[in-house]
Amino acid sequence: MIRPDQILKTVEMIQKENLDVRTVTMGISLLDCRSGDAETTANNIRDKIRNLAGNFVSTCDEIGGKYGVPVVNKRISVTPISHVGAGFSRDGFVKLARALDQAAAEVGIDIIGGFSANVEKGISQGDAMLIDAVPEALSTTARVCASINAGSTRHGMNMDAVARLGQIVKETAEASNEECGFGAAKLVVFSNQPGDNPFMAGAIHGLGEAEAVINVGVSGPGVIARALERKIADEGAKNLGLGDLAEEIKQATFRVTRCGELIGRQVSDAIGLPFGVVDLSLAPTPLVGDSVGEILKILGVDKIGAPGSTAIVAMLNDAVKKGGTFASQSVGGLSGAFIPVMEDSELAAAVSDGSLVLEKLEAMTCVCSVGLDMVPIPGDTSWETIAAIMADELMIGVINSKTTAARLIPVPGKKAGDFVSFGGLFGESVILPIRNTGESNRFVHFGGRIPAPIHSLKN
Amino acid sequence: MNQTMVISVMDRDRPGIVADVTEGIGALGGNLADLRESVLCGYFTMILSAAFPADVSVEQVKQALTEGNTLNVSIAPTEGSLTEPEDSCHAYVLTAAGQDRVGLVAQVSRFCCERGVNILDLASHVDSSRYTMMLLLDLSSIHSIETFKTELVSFGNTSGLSLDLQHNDLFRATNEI
Repeated sequence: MIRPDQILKTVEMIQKENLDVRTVTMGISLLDCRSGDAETTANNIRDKIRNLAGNFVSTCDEIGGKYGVPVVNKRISVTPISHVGAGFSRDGFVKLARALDQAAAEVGIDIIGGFSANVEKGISQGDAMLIDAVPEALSTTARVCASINAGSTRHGMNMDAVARLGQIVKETAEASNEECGFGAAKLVVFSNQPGDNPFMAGAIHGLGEAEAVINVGVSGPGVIARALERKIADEGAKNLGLGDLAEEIKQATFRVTRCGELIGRQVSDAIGLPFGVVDLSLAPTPLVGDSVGEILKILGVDKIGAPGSTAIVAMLNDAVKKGGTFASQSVGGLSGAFIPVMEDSELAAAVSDGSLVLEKLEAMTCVCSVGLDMVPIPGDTSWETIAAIMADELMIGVINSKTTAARLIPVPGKKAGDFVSFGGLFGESVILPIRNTGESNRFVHFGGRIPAPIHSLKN
Repeated sequence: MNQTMVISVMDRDRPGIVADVTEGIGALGGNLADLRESVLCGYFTMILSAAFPADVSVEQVKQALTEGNTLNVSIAPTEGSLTEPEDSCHAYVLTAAGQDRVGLVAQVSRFCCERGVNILDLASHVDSSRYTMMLLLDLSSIHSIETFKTELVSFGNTSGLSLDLQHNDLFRATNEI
C-alpha cells in the first residue's frame, strides 16, 4: 500500500486543489472526407466524427468517475480544414465549419478545433478561401475554433498572411458584435504551431498524425500554488531559495502529469484509439484558486507585471516541463504555463489596476508556453496595429524556436479601461490600452516575408 | 513435500527479534517466502510465511521461536501454495476522516463488511483530535461503483465522517516512479 502521507497528499490534491484533467482531446484525420463538392464533404465529416466520437464524452465521464478525477473538457481536433476543402469556395468552407459545429453538437462536444491553415511561407488558393471564410464561420457557429500558422523557425514569417489576418481578426470581432467580439476569442494566429496540441482554440490534428488519436491536457495551477504555499509555510520563506521552490513545482507537476496520463491512457484503451501525448500545460480558469498569476505572486512579485515577473514565468515554465517530462512517456503540444489574460482572474486584476501592460505581457510571453492569449483590446484598433502586434509576438517564436501565438480580441465599441466578459471558461477583463497605435502602418504595408532566422551565432 | 506455515510474532521492540526468529526458522530448514513487520507504541509485530520440510511440526517451530525469550508467537499451517491477492482493477483507497472518538474504525469496517467488501490494508493517522484512516479495499464484489459511492455519501452524512473513495491506480501513478 502507498504510504499514508502520500495518500493524504494525493487526496488533498484532488479534493482541495482543483486537480483535474483539463482536457481529453480526440484528434481525427478528415483527409478521407474530401469529395468533389462541399455538401458531400460536409456530410462525410459529420459521419466520420459521429462514428469515431459517438461514445467519447460518456467514456471520459465514466473513467473520470472511476478514478475520482474529473475530465473537465472533452474536445475534438481535426485535420486543418484547408487541406480538406482546398478547391472549394469561401461559402464551401463556411459549410464545412457548420458541419464541424453540428458534428460537435451531436457527440456532445463544446469546442472543436481545426478550422485551420498553415501559411507560414505562402498562401494557397484553399488557404485564402478558408481565411476569407473565418469571420462568417466563427460568428455563425458556436463550437468551431480557427487557428492559422503564419510563421516558423524553418521558414520565417509570412507578413502578407499576418497583414491579412490583422484584417480577419477585426472582421471576426465585428461579425460577432452582439457578443462583444467573441468570435475573435475562437481565432488564434500561431508561429511554430504544434500538430498535437489538445488545448483550444489552437488544437489541430496535424498532417503527421495517425488516423485518430487521444491527447491529454493536464492543468493544475491550483495544485502548484498550494504546494508552494505549503512548502513556504512549513519551512519558512527565509530558509528557501528559488531552487527549492522550482523543485517543489517539479514534484507537484510530476504528480499532476502522472494523473493525466493515467486517465488519458484509460480513455484511449476504452475507445480503442492510440494514445498521443500529454500536454503539460498549466492552464488557468477564471475560478479563484485556479490561476497562474497567483503562482507568480507566491513566487515573489506583489503585482503581476512588476520587474521580476518575466524571470518568474521562465522559471515556472521550465520547472513544469522538467517535472512533467519525467512523469510522462510521451509529451507534446504546448507544454508550459499559459498566461491568458481573460481566463486568469489574477492576470485580469493586474490589467485592471494597471500593473500589467501589453508590453510587459509580451515580454512574459517570450518565456511562457504560448503567447498573447485572450487579450482584449480597444475595438477601434486598426487592422495594421493588430497585425503588427501579432508580428511581434509571432517573431518571438520564430527567432527562439518556440511556439508563440496571438489571440487578440478587438472588442467592438469598447475602449481601453472598459470591461468585457464572455462568461464561463473564457472569463473577463478590463480592455488593455495599446500605445503607439497606428505607428506601424509602413511596416505592415511592406508585406512579403521575414526570412527564416540563422541557426547559429545564437546570442 | 514442503509445508507452508504463516507465523505471527509480537514482542516489545528490541534489537535482535528478526534475527532470533529467522535463525530459528532457518535451523529447522524453513525457507522464508514473505515477511512484513511494523512497530507501534514500542511494540514490534511481524507476520511471515515460510516453507518447512514435511517432517517439521507446528510445535517444533513454536518451541524453536519461543525458547529463551518472551515472544508471543502464533502459527497457522496452510495447505497448498500461498498467493497474495494480485493488484486488481478493483482496488480502491477509502480515506475516512473525522473528529477522534470511540468506534470510528468499527463503524467504517462494518459498513464495508455489510457490502462484502474486503479490507486489504488499513493505516491510520491522528493529527491533534482529527482521526484519519486509509483503507485499501477490494471492490470486486461491488457491481456498481456509483451505487457504492452514493451509499458512502449517506454513510458520511450519518456518521459525520468525511469520506473519499479513489482508485488505487491513481495513488500509484502520482507517488511511484
